[in-house]
Amino acid sequence: MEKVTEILANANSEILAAKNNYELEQTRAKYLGKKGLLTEILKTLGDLSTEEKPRVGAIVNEAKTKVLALLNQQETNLKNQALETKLHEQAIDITLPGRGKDLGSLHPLTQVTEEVTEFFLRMGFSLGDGPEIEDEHYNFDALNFPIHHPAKNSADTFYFGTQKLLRTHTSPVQIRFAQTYSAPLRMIVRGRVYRRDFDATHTPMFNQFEGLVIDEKTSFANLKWMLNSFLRSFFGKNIVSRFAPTYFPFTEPSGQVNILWEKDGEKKWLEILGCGMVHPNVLIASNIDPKRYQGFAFGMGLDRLTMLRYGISDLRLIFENDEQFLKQF
Amino acid sequence: MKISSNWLKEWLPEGLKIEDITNTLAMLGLEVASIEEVGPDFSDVVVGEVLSVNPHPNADRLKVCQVKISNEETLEIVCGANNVKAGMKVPLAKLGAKVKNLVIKKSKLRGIDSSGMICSEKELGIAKESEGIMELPKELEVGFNLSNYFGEKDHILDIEITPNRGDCLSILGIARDVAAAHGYKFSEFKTPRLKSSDETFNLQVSAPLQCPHYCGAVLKGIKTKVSTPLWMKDRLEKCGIRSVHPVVDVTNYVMLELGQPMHAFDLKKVDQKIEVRTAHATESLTLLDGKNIQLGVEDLVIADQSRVLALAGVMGGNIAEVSEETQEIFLESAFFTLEKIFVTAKKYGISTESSYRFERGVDFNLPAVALKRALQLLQEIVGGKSGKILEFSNIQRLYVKPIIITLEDIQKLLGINIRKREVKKILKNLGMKFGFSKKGMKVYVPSYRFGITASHDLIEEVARIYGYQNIPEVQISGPISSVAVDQLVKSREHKNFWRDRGFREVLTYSFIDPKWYDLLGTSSEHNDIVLKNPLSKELSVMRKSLIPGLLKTLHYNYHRQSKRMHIFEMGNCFLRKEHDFCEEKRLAVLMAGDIFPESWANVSKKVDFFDLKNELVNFLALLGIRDINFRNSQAKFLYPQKSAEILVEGETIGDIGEIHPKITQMMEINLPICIFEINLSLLNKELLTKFREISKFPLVRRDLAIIIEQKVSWKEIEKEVVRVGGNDLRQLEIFDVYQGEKIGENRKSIAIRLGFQNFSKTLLDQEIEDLVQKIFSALEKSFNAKLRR
Repeated sequence: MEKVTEILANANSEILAAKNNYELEQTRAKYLGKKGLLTEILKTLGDLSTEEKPRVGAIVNEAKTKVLALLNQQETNLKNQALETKLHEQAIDITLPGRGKDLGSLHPLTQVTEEVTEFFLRMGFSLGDGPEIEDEHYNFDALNFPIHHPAKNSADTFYFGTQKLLRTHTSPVQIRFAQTYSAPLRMIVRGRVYRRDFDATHTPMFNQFEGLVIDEKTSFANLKWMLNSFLRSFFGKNIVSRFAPTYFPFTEPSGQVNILWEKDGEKKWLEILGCGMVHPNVLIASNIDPKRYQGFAFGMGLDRLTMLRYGISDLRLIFENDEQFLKQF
Repeated sequence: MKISSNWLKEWLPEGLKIEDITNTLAMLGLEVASIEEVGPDFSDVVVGEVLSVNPHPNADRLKVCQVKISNEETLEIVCGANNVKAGMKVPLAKLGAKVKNLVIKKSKLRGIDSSGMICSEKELGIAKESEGIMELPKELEVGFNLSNYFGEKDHILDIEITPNRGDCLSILGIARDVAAAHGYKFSEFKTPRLKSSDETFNLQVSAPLQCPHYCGAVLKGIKTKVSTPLWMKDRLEKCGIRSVHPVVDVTNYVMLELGQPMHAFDLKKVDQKIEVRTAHATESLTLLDGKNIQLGVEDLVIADQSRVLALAGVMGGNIAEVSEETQEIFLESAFFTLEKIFVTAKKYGISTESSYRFERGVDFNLPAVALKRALQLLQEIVGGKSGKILEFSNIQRLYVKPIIITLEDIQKLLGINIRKREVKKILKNLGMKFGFSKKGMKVYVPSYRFGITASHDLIEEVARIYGYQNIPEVQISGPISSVAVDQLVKSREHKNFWRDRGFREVLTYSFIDPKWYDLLGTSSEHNDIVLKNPLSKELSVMRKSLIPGLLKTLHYNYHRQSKRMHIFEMGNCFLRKEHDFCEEKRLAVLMAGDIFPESWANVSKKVDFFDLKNELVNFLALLGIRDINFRNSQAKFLYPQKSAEILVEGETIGDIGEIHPKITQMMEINLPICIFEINLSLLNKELLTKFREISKFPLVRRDLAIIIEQKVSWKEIEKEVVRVGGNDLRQLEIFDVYQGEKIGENRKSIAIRLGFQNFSKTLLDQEIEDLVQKIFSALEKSFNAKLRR
């Protein structure tokens, strides 16, 4: 009896002391092997009386189970330890950069263009498109420019021949779109436009965004709501804006929208949008009956908007494509 | 237009602050571009009389002056100005005086004490620029304190007048609008009563359509050697007009005040008559600025009996120019039509204060009033006696027909609830008159607003004065007819693809330098679209490809330390199609340098054709395009053996390849450059993916290595394998290509992996072996392939 208790105690300490699988297997053999200590005791069971036999048998079997459990336990422990050691050995510097290609970038102008487009598409606007090389008719005459308008001048406008020119605004697309789809309509167009100017605030090519809404009752009050909604969406709900009269040949009344903008600690009114109620002559040129339909149009400079959004100081950077510039966006 | 706010205020009710005025102007559509504060900024500056001027013993450029400031006191002043002379009256800042931020103290200048300072206009803050010291009028008393002499502080407002508001190119016009905005009727300028003689002159208007209104008068007995009064000079200068001669100054002053351009001729130099006529083909004219112009028969001129004196409404000539000796003048105040002046000014490339106003339209009723005003001022300043006012008038047809407008029109267009009374008040304050009509309000437009011809013009006037800020915001409603142009919306997705694959988007100019086409060997005189009036040669030809833009961007950055660039651009290219232009939406992608960014973890490998090809095929897959073929490219700028034409469903959409080494060399770029460009307009077909059943039976793979002639392309092999493999061949991959000595000259080894799978059963080993054998036999037969062992 005592012998079993002693064996069990020895087995326990030896198992726990086993440092690897080999030692553990040695211990297993020593106690549970064919000639193991507990096996040996079981072999002597036959010498015992019939009363003692089951009792001692039970004790030894119980001891065997315990040793087996201890062995398994230790085996798991050793495995875990070994894994742990191995993991430690294979530790990596997790602060090193990863492998493969980096993310590219979209030009900031594209990002702003898409954001603005997204807003108006959600408002149920269609997206229109038109040629950049335009006819004088669509670029000026259909938009109610007087015959003697200063813009129709080779000092301001790029010409190819007498009739073909690089569009000076995206407005010709209004006419083309309205002629195709007719009223009622809500459309936007964005794209490149061209004027003969080159300095820190003018590039000969720049980008415009323009919208047109034609319906039976669309009013100036709707125009204000539309544009203020857009400004709140783009600049945040606290943006302060004001509408002031101005002149465009293709709208009447015409307006410009200013926003209060802080620069160098000083708040100033900044012109951001041009807009107005579509001039009846423009509706006529679009084959829309001005007695039945009315509507508004608006336009803005996307380059300007991009500069404001990211705090870009010089317009010329936009088309320089310096990698140091591009990778910031 | 620059105006003095003090001058404007004289025409407005008292109590308006500068902030009120500028705000009102902005809300009227008369945008104030800048506000500049000017005005005297000094104390203790008195009138001094220079008694003597002596050279400074120790300095060449300085002078020592004795300046009397009272009968008792004469100060010794050291002065550096060139124009200081004995006998001049000058503004003198005494010791302790404040001039702007400067306090005048006794100081020693090169050894001589100076007890004060003789000031210039600029130092006193009454002019922006000035030369030398200021000369005061002789009449001023010595010792007189100048504190209130130059008037108050003033603001110069630079107002941007839109082309439709010619009526606002004067103090009068602006004041009229401001008054209406503040809700009261403006009291119009009252024509001065003028004493005049019966003296007349021969006036003849021979071009009544182009000159519908002409007024003139002679003024005789003008005092010479009179200078323009300081207050008038001051106002002219603030409005950006240089003072030249009292007569000319008065005409300019009246132009600023009332908006009427005028011209004075030296009567002694006028031969017998003044005639308004078109020029003869043989005539020429030397303008006031010295330029000689050859006139044409379409030009409107002012002439006398024998010569042309002026280009009507644009600029005078030098023949009858007013000078210091002028003792009598003929003063012109006329209305020339917008179109005539616009065309003439444009033809000769001249823009003057006068042509600028006529182009935008001057009040056709104004000439007589303005003429009287000018004569009144002239008589005050230079004296003389005016003759009879001569007038030719053909203006009846210029009046705008009355306009009928209804309250509903206004409410509907603006979305406001305005009352009729309010509308009437606004329009009345703007000078409109009302008649009677059953259809609505019948409005008569004043002559100075001839641009208002229809009801929407009037609605704009109502909106302006009502105030845009008072119009409510009303949510938009009504039906939506949404026809988004798919390709445009999709372009965002396409761009995102390239961004995600590690490419940077660039945006380059639509016009480029033609030297790029020469470099790429793609220039073509017939097809290049050249601007008639480019800004420079570098921006003169419309791009017919995006490739030059990408190469230019690479070049720019390569020479700024970027040795790896993966970039793309999407945009329009411009081409000729028969006799018209056409625009194509294109995409171009460029990879130069390494495949991966430089990093400890990345292999360093240069890009080649296949890196870019993979990107291209993936992009086309995003578009749902799988039927893609490549064949040798003809593009001159590409490496002939490493480039291809890209075909989608048999149609060429672009080229892909490595840039020809000759070109990279010329660009001084030591990197492999791979590039492709495709025409997106051709890919505008939405290809829907069709689902194919997935087999439940196992896929069995077999490898096959063959040796084959080098010239046989993978495409040919693939086609044959697919044909022979039939429906059970589900997978085909090429996993090795080898060329080398072991194989033999002009031969290559190709290893392919075949995957077999059937939809209704598991394929038996024998069946598979048979298939592989069949495929090999076909390759052997078609391409003389050998099995590689």
